[in-house]
Amino acid sequence: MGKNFFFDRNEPVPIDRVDGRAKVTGTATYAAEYKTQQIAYGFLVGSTIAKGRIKSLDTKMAERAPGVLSVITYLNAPKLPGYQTGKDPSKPPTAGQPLRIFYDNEIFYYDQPVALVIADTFERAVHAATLVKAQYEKAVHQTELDANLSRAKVPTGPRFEDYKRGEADAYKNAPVKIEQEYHHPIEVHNPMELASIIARWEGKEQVTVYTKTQGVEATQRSIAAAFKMPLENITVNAEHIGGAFGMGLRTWPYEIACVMGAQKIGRPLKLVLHREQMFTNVGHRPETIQKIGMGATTDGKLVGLTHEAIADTSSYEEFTEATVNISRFLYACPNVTTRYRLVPLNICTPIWMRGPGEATGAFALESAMDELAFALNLDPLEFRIRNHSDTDPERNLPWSSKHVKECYEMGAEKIGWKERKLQPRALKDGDWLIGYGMGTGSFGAFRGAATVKIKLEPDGKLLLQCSVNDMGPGTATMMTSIASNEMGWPVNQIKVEMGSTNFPPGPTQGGSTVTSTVGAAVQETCTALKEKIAELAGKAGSAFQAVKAEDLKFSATGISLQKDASVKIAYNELLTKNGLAALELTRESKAKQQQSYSMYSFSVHFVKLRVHPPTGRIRIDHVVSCADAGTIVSPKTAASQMIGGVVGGIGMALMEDMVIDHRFGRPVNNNLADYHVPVNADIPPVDVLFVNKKDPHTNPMGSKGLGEIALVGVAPAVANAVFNATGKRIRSLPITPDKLME
Amino acid sequence: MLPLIKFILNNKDIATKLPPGMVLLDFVRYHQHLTGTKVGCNEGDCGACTLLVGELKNNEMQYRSLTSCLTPLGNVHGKHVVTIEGLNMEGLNPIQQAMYDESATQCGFCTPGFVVSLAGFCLSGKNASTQNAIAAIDGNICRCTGYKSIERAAAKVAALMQARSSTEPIVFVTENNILPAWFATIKQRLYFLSTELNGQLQPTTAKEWVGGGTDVYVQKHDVMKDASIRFLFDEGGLKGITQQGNRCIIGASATVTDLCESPILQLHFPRLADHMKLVSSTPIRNIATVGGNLINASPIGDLTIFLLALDATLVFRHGEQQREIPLRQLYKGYKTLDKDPKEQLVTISFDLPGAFTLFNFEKVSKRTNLDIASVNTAICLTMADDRIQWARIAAGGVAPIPKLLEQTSAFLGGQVITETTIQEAIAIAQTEISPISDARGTADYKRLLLGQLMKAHFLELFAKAAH
Repeated sequence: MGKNFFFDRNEPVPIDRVDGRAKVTGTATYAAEYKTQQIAYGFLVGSTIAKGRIKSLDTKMAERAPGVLSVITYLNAPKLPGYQTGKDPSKPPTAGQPLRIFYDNEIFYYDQPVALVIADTFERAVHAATLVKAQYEKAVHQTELDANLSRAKVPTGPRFEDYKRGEADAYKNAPVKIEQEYHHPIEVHNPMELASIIARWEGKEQVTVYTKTQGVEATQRSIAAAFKMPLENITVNAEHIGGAFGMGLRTWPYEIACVMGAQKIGRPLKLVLHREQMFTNVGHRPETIQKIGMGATTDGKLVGLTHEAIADTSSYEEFTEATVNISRFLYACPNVTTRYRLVPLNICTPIWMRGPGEATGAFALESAMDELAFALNLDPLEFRIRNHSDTDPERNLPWSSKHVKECYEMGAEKIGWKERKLQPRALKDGDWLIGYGMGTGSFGAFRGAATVKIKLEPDGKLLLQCSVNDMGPGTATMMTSIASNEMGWPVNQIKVEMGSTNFPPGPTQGGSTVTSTVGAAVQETCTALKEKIAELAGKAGSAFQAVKAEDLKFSATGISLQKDASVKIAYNELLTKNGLAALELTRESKAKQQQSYSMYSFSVHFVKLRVHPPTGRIRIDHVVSCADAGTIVSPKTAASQMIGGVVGGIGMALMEDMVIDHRFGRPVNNNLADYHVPVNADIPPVDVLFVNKKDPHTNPMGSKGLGEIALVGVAPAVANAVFNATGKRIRSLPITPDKLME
Repeated sequence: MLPLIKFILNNKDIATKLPPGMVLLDFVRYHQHLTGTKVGCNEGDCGACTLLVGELKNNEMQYRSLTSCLTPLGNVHGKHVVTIEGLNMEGLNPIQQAMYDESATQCGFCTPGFVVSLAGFCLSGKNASTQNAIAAIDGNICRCTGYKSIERAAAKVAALMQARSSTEPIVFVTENNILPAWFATIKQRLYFLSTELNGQLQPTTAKEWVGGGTDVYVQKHDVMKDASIRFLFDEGGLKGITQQGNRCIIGASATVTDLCESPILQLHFPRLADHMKLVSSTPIRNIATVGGNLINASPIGDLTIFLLALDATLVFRHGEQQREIPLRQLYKGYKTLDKDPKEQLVTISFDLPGAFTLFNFEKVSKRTNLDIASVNTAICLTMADDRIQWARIAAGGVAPIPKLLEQTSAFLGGQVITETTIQEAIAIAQTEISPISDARGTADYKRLLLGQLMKAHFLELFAKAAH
């Protein structure tokens, strides 16, 4: 790895979003907006029961309606070869049998698609969808987690077995202890863009799709498996997607339905879900009931920690996440027990939502830390410092880097933590009670594999290609930033193409891994390019005989010798002399097998807020979020990403809650008027502070992930501040005014 | 036969025979292929489809932002419609540049809506404060950026407008290259367009009536497209807020924004701006009509509660016949009205508060903007020295209908305000209401909340006034 002046100096140069221009002018194209001749429109009809069988389906009226091209149901759907094996066709993140759309008459959840109506216009499809008449044989459904706890089961596979370090449930014998239950409702990703797909077949063998996915290759594999087609016959494009927050981490049945429908009618087909269907058909953050038992010595050293979680999943798949895992390593504690259970319900399979299980788990753990600190009469920040884990107690390994104490220090300073009183209700401003709270977050710093293709044009323009896409954080900007710094090129000389299976393989965007994975690949590919340029220079003229990349100074137009700037050659000349029109190379990059360090990103969130006891209203005054995410590669996009996560956390803490009417098993507030996400006026000033220290082990840039830790730990910081303000401990999210009114 | 609808879309003259009930969003995206305007919810909740609509008012261009998913083509007949594409210039315009420089876009899906709302601020003639620029984006939801970068961009946009003083906004923004130069031609083009319009929009046998569309297009979007519609939004006789003696007369099609901007109301309701900013969001307030809020009969309509406390009187018209009815007698049960379907609401009137009359409105909702109240309430008191001469208090979200608390009001008449009086009034109010538990709160919470908001009325009107 060549020495990198930029990252070693640790002074990132802020660059603007490379896709900013397209986005502020409305010219960025999203899945539903690709122009295709002869396109037809689909609309899904959902079941009106939550469990049972379709008794009869009458599609005659719909089929006769003006403009209708086809109505697909389980009765006439093309038999997908991948559905016939009985094996999982799409390798989703779950055990079990993914929903096979239009496969048989069984209903697993409310609004499960029972028909796809296809017409020549969207309005006609929507209208004809109202003419499909289904009758059902209803069975007793179960959608209420709390009422089904007796059916809780340990998920399949070794990752989710009960964990024990030291003595089981040792907290019970500690001198000071707490034992509490925490609840978190179903949250729905609700990106601004609706789930959308266009599928277009070329003949019988080739299909191209434009879809809202976080991983074009994962979607390509799913379609290949369902239709038993070679991968190379499937092109998946998703250059821009309008947010996803995890809902694009798998291929959903509606996507398979669209590809199926386009094949059946022999025309391109567009299928866009309605906002209501976004609540029922594309996953959710599972509801959880968690129990924490925590005990400490009287001087505030943790003795034992037990963390149990029970979460919902669908009745046909096991969806799992790392809800309890954070309790195993965040604090130094000799005795830790974790247990994780699932309850199958008549609901669509959940999917990771930003911060995923770690965010849910941190709500319980970090609330409990605050409760125990209060029981100990200790400042909760001091309590955390006393229990800081200097090494990873779960794996017994050193951290690759951990700067949580610096986060504590700078965050406390910025929020004015010293103003905080140990006793609740001690700070007032008129009718309002003021409180301070904090919460810690963490997420694994993973790195996967990516291949990047780079092309140097004679005029010094660089083109980078990778299949990875961008749901918003700024992937292309990060890639440009790294290439610009590695090559010493100005940003406007670099172009990134991505979001298509036409480009070399890249990772799915999820789990805060893209900067580590793709960034490293960009850097390594740039290094390889520089070496190749040196080699070509050696062939091009005696002045560069046997030079190495480090002997050269690279500019956007050509190279010169480090020792003697007058010895130079322009790229066009260099390429001509080597008989090349352009210089292209492709490199795969992946993490070395790394067993000797434990790698995590960390965040610490501080909240100052006010509560109005007469009405229960809460106003957040200030948030300070500190991140230990290694080197910050792209400061502008990183700061935005961080604030966005904090606001997601405020939504989780104060608003987001999908309410199910359990009598019918269907959501009550399935629209953006009743399912609340924060508006601008709800959000106070948010300060983001980065430790910005290179992690020596994660990847060549020394970065760690950011997208998840931005949210993990925010909700408990809010809940803890509410307690500090009011003396009321709210253990069930969201913290709505009715829970606080006095 | 479908009427010919004419308007200007960005810089282009439009004459279309598409159904006048089709929403503007579908027209620009599907028929004009202007896909910069996004579809997020189809219910006016997200702001991704925000457009600007301009019309000639007193020889000045008046632009308003609105949610195009709820606006029928019939409501833009003879007007100027602006999409994000219409704001694009050679290079970025300064609003877009501010958004770009501040990294105020992530996934980018909500971004055009924010840019359009900020352009709406520039064209609004509002004071060039950061606060006003930020208020202009109160109807736009962003799920990625966390809003802070957008606020910074809004502050820059406000700064752009600070040199305007008395210049007409549209002149200022074209002269200063904030918006494309062709905006300067719009006023004259609209004037000529207005001379060509001949009222062809109003079918005699309309089945559906539409005001601003903010409720009816949420309730029955699909039906409306091909329905025969009478468009009330621009009907001359239904507009305007006027004063006759001490009586205020509001046309049924006056919008919430019209109320906010009425000098008559501003004079008589000093806290009007504070009350009205709690009502939904800017683009909805720009099109939601007072009449619509009353007739949709929501038990929690903000304006309904406001007007109940003012004891408003409604005038209905049916052919040549007119009928007057007090608002308090309109609601017979959940969403049932004492109104013949053929009767049309024409005006709403009430006595303007005199020197001894006090008025207050309170609303608690989970979210600051774009939210329906958990409970809202308004009070109107006429004082004789320290004594309440008579009182009217109304509350929403606590009964199947917007509720005038008659017994509580009667009790308060003649009382001196003491803590005991207020406690007794609250106790009586509890006997008059029947809230249910729903997504906006439990029944118990709503009961408690009404009590607290009643206290807030008295605190606001007396304790704070005393300081």
